[in-house]
Amino acid sequence: MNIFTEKLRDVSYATIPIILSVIFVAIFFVDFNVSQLILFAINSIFLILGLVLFLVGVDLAITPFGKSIGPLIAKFNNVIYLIVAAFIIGFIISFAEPALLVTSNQIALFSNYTVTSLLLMNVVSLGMAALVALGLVRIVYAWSIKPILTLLYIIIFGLALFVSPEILAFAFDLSAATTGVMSVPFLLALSLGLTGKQKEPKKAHELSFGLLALASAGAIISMLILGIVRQPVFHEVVVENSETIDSVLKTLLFWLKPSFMDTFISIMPLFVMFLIVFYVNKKEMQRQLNRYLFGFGYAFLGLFLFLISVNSSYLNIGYTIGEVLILDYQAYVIILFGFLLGVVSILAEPGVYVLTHQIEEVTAGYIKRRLVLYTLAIGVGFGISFSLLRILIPAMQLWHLLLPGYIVSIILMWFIDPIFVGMAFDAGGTATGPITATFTLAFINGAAQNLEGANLLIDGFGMVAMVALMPILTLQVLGGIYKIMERKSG
Amino acid sequence: MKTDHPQYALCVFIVPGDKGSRLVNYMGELGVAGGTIIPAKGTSSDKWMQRLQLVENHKDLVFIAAPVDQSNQLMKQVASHFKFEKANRGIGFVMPLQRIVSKAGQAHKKQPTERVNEDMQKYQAIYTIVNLGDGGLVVKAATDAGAKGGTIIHGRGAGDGETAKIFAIELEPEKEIVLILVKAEIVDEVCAAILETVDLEHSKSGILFVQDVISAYGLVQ
Repeated sequence: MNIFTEKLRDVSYATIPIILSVIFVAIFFVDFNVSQLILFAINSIFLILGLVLFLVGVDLAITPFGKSIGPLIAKFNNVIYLIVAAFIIGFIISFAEPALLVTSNQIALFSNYTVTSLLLMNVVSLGMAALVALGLVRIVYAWSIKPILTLLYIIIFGLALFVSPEILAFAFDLSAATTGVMSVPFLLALSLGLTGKQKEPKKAHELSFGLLALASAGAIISMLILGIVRQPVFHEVVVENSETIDSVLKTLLFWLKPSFMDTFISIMPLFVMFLIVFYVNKKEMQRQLNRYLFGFGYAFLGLFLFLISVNSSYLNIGYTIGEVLILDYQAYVIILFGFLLGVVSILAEPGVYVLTHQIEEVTAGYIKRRLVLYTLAIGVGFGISFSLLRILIPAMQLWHLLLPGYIVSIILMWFIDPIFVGMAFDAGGTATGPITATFTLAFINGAAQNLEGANLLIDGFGMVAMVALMPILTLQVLGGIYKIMERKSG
Repeated sequence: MKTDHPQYALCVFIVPGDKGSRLVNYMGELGVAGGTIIPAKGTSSDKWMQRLQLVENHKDLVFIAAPVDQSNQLMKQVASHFKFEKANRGIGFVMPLQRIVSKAGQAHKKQPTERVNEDMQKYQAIYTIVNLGDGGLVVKAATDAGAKGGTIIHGRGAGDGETAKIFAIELEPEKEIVLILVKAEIVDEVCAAILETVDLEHSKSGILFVQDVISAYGLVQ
């Protein structure tokens, strides 16, 4: 066994459920055309291979690089340096996220370009950068996560009173987009690099998680502020999501370039940062140079294959499933399927894989990876089901679910161990990665677009907010169960 | 050399990263309760994989104390159950223990054995396994009693009745393993000091054992 076969085994476990679910749907419910099926077969192989290579790259290069940065900044022993460095890193990482570009473009289109996508990206990245800086300061001063998160969510819901439901949905969606495929592993590693030196192990556990949670909250807050200042108005625009697939080769070739560009935009800023750090820190990193270079290479190749796969096939498959299920079947069928697809899609999300592994590593295996994974998946399943329910019942608004959801999360937080709080809120941002943004979003859009009276604009975007919320709840419940169990066993 | 207590030996296993818990459970079925698992990294020696930088893999390092007279039989059973004869399934070995302190006051000290070379055997290694967070206390007590320092390793494990279950998944509490090398003549005092701070004789949460060190380097006087 080496790292490659290890990841191959893990990734197979992670992707086979989603592949089997689609095959199951194809046999019993939806007639896909032959091209769609051939594309799906090819791209499932790409998906597995891409994920394996990407995760190997994360292990070899991105995580060690992230871990090495913390101690490097800490050497200055000056909190101002820390804040400045964290701010720059946070901004670059957020700005480089391909999902942010895609989401911003869509929102700009909806606003009839009264807000440009560049403005959105800047605003969101600034918010995230500021809170990444706060997050690192929190780690070095060992502040508890609970009061910080409570305060931030009070601010969020205070601001939310003054914005339209569209802005609220967009804010959560943009925030989910920034905590994507690159920023999740990198920010997690950045925390670990700083907490690894903590002498008190329990404190270190607690501080290792929560940075992503703060980063997400920062993006939401800055977007809400933009909404209040600019008061943009949004219009329904028909998104042509359902381009029919007639030629397998043409579709693959079409997605080659955008996928390559997205990969390039994601990896390059980190790689440039790496070269700078390497130049400064040559002595210590020289020996590891090959490992880093190979790692970045694997990550690049892996992400490229992964994006081709989700863009050229999974997006289309998701849309078709949503469309057919809502038109041809009873409402409960799609709600049940929403749950199933939520569960299986989250297992294949790269960020989730990295986060759950990190949790196991930090706690030396005390908090089991599989347990966190299943809890998270169930949460996401509920998130998708609720979103579908909302499409079917127009009177149900996003905040009817978000507000009680977050209030319960914030109250629950005070009764469980801090490590679970950080973990749960981190998982919220992590759950909404590239699979959710393509496959699941397309599924919801397919349903919303084909249902009389459904509002694609709000319904599609609200889904992401729900997917971010539900794991926070389920993971905190798991934290409560752990606490009760621990007390029982003394 | 007859004593009232059974003599103990330390069984050490290195198995693939996901097998540690299963191994401890299996040993439990065989009647040896309690073990400590440390996540570790290993490397493969394949030339091509080395060139591609794909050598790292995850391992679990497992410590289990078992009575000496059963240890060979246990090792054989574990080896066949986990198919150690195949490549990359794991390795295991048994080490003698000089003394062991564990739950319910089972303290046992082996009579000093014949020493091959007095010069080289003047050090002994004390392993103390305690609950997460208590490692620092152990090092402090040991250094106060004359040890030069200690290394804390992060692991997980469970003694008898210490695990809880969530659904079908067993929880093993987090532990710290403190490794301290001291001169043989002060081992008694250091152990006494450690046991005074962390009461292993009455709680089920940890164990302490001492091993002979054949040779030691890098210890500054």
